[in-house]
Amino acid sequence: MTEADKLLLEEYFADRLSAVDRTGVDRRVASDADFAAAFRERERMEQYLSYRAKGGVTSDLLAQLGQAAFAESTDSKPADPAPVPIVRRSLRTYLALAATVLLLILAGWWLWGSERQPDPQALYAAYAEGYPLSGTTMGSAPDSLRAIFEPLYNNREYAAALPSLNSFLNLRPEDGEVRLARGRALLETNQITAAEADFLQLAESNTAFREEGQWWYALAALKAGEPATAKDRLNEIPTSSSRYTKARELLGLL
Amino acid sequence: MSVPATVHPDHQRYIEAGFRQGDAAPLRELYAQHAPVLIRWVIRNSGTQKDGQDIFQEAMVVLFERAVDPRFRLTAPVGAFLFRVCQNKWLQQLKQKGRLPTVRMEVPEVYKDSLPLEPDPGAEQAKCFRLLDETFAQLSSLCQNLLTLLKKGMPPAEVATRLEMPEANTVYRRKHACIDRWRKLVRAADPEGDCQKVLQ
Repeated sequence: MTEADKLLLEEYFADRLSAVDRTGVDRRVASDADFAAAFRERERMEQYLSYRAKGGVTSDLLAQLGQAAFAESTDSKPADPAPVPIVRRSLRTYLALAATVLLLILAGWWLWGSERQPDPQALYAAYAEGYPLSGTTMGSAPDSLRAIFEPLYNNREYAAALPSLNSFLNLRPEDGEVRLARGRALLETNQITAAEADFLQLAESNTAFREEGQWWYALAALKAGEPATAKDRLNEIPTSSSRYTKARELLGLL
Repeated sequence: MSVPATVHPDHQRYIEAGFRQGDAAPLRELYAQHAPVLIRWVIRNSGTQKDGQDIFQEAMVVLFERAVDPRFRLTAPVGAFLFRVCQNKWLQQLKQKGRLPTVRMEVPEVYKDSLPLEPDPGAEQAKCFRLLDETFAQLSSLCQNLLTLLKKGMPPAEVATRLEMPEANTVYRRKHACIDRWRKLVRAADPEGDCQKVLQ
């Protein structure tokens, strides 16, 4: 097919041809087999694009739905209690209490002059609070992806949540909340360099997630067992940040 | 003269809302309601849990392929459709393994009243939509966004702003380049031109 024919088809499917020219294309489809094949191929592409534009499910998304459905059925053991979403306030309170107890132990250890430095991993565990997602599905492809990763992420099934988090961010790279969630999921699955890239992107942005990006960028260094880097990053958290007090507290322990 | 089959009420919920408009809830429902029945059927017929899951997932992909085709209408209950596809695929696998005589052809009670399904003349064409889907996913995210936004009817000037392009003309140039790239990917994935033949 010539370049001119390709352009002609583009104009046809963009509905920018006159009635006469459209009829000309239709006639050629009826008489020229090669042109007809190219026309039908392009027609299928348009049909697929219409499906996508309406928010149609992709095979990739379907694979993720299947993974999630079968992971749930494989993982569900009768003896286990029902999974508790981390959005629930009661669990968050428990986590905060546990973190406080751990901090008190660590602080006591430090105050009473232990020669050893606190374990960065333990500090990470104490300060890495749950970060719940609570979006709503709206019916488009990215929102369907959200419906997949949100329950998985909130149940801390980070590895299972990652494929749909990745797909979502391919479609909506500007979504800071989901980028932060992916950073957390990467961090919890020990993909620290990739997690740092997400946190750094947020830390350097001018979005509502800038402060969280800075905080988690520092925690990623702790998770990596690099307290000196963590200290540098914590020191960069400005006084205006909602994480400033926590950052100073953590610096004190380091 | 053949009478056109009537559209089944399941069409709206599972094909239109679920697949075509991307509502995950009806699709999750399909997994919750039909996967256990059909996996059990595969296990009863010499398969494993994993075989059952794979076969069910393949049936869902077949349903997806049909849903992309705008002409497709579901004319039977969706569960019966899934059962028929699972049954065919599993029998095919067993035949390849030479284990066909061990299969019991019992139809799960829940699907008995809604079988048999009419033959689906669109089956071969539907496979070509999966090819389009797989190759579309190989395009850059810029191409994917650009083609989808234009198809949604967004004015080119707005697309240019959204995708940080200097002007609307750039949008058209990129669109042609993206379509060309997509076409090449399709042809590379279908070197024998099977889809082309199906479309003739």
